[in-house]
Amino acid sequence: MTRSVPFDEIREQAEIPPLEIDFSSQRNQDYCEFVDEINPLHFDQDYARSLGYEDIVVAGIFTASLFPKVITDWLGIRAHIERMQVKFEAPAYLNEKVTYKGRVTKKAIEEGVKRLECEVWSENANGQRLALAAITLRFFEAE
Amino acid sequence: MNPDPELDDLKRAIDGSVSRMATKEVIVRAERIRSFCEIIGETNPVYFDLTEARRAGFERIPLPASYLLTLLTPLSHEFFTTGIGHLFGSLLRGIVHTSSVIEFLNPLYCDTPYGLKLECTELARKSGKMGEYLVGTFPHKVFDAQSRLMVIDRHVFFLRTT
Repeated sequence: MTRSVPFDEIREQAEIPPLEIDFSSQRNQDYCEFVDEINPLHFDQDYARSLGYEDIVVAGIFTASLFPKVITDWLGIRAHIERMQVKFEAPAYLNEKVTYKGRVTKKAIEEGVKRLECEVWSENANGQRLALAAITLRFFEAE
Repeated sequence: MNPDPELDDLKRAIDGSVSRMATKEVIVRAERIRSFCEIIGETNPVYFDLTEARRAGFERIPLPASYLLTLLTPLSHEFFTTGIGHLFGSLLRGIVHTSSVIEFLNPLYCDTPYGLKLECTELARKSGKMGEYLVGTFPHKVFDAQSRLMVIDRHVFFLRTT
């Protein structure tokens, strides 16, 4: 559930609470059905291996969907995501537990607008980074 | 940069296919967001309880930022099947989404009509350890009923051709 961290208490380089997600077969199947997935890379093991991957690759749009959640779990909806840049670096495979971690890279008030820039990344159980996101947040006026 | 007439022809063909793709009209219902939230483990009631949404200052249930990439999925699916599938035939051996740059210009809400539109702005050749690729930048755009741009997501795809 959402914690309430006031803007004034946030410091640059502060760590964002991590989020762990198990991309289990069931969760992946649920998502593939939800989006009517057509790319066999995300549900056909033989196809994935024919392309040189170790196993079924969890869709990037699925794994990247958790980046905003890392932020909203931390700050709630008081912070609006203005921009998110995601770069996928390595595949997230089926049944991997992926941990999302992050830190605040910049805090600023410009013309009365409160903004945070955060770096959030995902990594597998071996500590290999899978994707990196740069996220810019704007706090609501009422904050 | 060396001339590559074949790539130029392909870019023109993709542009033609993209221009023929109609704007996809979507309305996301609250039930669908509830299902999505269950899949990703989202428990914030703002995303599935209108009373909570209004208490938080929203007139309707907002679409979670997490949902944006999923919202755009039908656009990519149409693009890679009926849109440009005929341009590649069996040559297209894999599609990999390598990056996205998303700008959330305005909030999106449930039960609200939006239009989705895709473009192709860049296409280049590249080779790597897994073979030959085409690298394309494909902005996915979300418009509201007044044609205001709400969100733009610049998807980059690797299209594996060998």
